[in-house]
Amino acid sequence: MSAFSDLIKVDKNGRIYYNKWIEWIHLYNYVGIEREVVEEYIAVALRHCASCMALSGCYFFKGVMPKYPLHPHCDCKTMDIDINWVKKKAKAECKIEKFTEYIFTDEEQSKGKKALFESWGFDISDSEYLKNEFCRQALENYLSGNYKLKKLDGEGQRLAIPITLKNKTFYSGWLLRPQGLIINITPYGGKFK
Amino acid sequence: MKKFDLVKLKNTKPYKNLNLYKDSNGIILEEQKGKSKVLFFNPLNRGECLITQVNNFDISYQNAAFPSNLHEEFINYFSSIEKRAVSKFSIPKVKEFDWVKLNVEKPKYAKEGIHKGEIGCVMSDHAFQNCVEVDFINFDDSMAVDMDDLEVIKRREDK
Repeated sequence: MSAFSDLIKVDKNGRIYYNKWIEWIHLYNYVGIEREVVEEYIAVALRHCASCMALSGCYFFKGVMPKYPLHPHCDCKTMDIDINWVKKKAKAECKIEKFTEYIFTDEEQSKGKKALFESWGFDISDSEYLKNEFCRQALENYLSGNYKLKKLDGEGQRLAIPITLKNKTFYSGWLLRPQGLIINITPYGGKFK
Repeated sequence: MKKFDLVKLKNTKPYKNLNLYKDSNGIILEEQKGKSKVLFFNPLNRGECLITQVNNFDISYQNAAFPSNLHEEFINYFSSIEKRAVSKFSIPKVKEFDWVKLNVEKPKYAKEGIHKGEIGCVMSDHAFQNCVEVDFINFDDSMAVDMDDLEVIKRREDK
């Protein structure tokens, strides 16, 4: 957790506010096509640190962010950003197939997760509701800083975000992308601890 | 179009033997007489690149160029990029929502509690440096696994 004084900022009008969010910035911070090409492809070709490039442009709650700097001679910077900016940009995405093709699949292997969701009263016809509910709760928790950092690699920073269904809380797995986008990887990522 | 312009491949037909995908991103390395030498990136396996000559009418300009402050670094590093460029794009062995089995025992998986024979479902629609995200049944987290270490036990039905 950052020092409390680090969180207090004064804006240009002299108003004191709590700044709890940062944007992670690698050497180059582009948007649009340049970001896609520079950060996702050339980073690897030029052998920049893939994890740093994956973090570039991502928004973190100061209390829950990767170790900074990430490694010796790290070129990355962090920039304070306003929570309202994060709220404006952030969104959650979850494919409906995460439920129809995975959780509620008839495959023998998925019986555990299927049984779990069925024990809570859900079936495949609830997939659309679940998808929307997962996105709603995950976004709300992310914006509250209520998430855990999981594995970080060149693909990006994984987050464990709590989801509550029928009074049962568990973690779901998400991938953090630039500009506050969170993408669901797995709907059920284990018990809430 | 000129050197360092960003382009997309529009017509894949003449380059079928290279497994180039439609809309693959690329950077022009050289341009002359209606043809361009382009560095393409594999959208289905990030980190993989290929250098080839294409007709200019088979590519479209993306209204953007590779950032000028990276040109020098790119030029200095180019021999390394050339060495690692593949002769044709790999086709991912697995697709999102395929059911797979880990067919090797490796320390990098074992330390996470995943052993040979574990079954899981592919949860990403592309690979990164030949790895895909797999959600193993007996493991709470998903993890990145090399596609070569996986055996498909059930393909997702194409719909």
